[in-house]
Amino acid sequence: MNMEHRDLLEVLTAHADQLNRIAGGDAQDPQVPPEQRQELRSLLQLAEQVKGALAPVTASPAYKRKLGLDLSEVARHRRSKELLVAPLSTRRELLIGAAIGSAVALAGGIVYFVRTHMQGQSQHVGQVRTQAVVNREPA
Amino acid sequence: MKGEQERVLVERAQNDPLAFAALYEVYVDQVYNYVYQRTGNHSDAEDLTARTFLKAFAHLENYVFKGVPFSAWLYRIAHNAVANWYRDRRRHQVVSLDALIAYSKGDDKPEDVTQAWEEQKKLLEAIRRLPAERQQLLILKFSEGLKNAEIAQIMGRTEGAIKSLYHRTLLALRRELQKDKTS
Repeated sequence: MNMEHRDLLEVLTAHADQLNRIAGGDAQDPQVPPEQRQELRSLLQLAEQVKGALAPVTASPAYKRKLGLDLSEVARHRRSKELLVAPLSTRRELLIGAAIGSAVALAGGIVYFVRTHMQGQSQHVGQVRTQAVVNREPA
Repeated sequence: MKGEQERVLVERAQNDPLAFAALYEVYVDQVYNYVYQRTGNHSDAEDLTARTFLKAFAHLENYVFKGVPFSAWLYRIAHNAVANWYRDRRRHQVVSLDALIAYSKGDDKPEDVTQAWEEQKKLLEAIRRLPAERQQLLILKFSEGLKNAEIAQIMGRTEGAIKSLYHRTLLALRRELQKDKTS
């Protein structure tokens, strides 16, 4: 993009912003070369016409109130659905928690059983070995 | 509305559906105006504004605040609603009496009013023959009074791209009006 074109875009933008601040504002165009001024003026005029043609409108208060009420109704419906769904998910979470708790307790029991069983076996083997040594010693 | 205030309102509405009413109050006029400028009549603007807010409400949980304002998200929904509406029904944009009445001034002479209406009608027709994104740009800039940076966020482009698009849009519009004059 060359310098002159960029200046043109800047002036157009500044003009549009100015139109939004002051109706019928006039843009300053010191940077635009004389040969482009005619072109620029034509575009600025057109921009002013467009601004006038697209004057903002608002919805009627009755419509806004009605749509607001309709949306509130939909929102209330959704909230009541969420309240129904919440206890179900809480119940599911409780069930999952209970299942995990039971599994952990069961695993703990198994580990305890295996360990005590193995300890009992090793004690028994130790006692048998000691007895054998005692029996072998001369009187 | 400032970004932080907007973020708080959106988060509240995401946690409590009833809090969506506050967002509706803030943006209903902007959305309505945008849709009206695209369709040219109040009846269709009412229908499409309702669709826009219902869709926004239904998909609010998908909106993630990442610096792009909520209004930009809302304008995109409105823009798509208008596009779908035209596509589905194969409608053509018209210049309604509503738009012309809104433009006229009470103290003008009848013949001046007629001429002004005629010019206004031609200009609006030419605007509505432009591609949708160019119409969107003109409406956001002149009817909604947004700056290029804000328009860029809504249209998902850079600020520089919006400046260029604005220039090209004015050129295209001038060509359209000249075509009208010659035909």
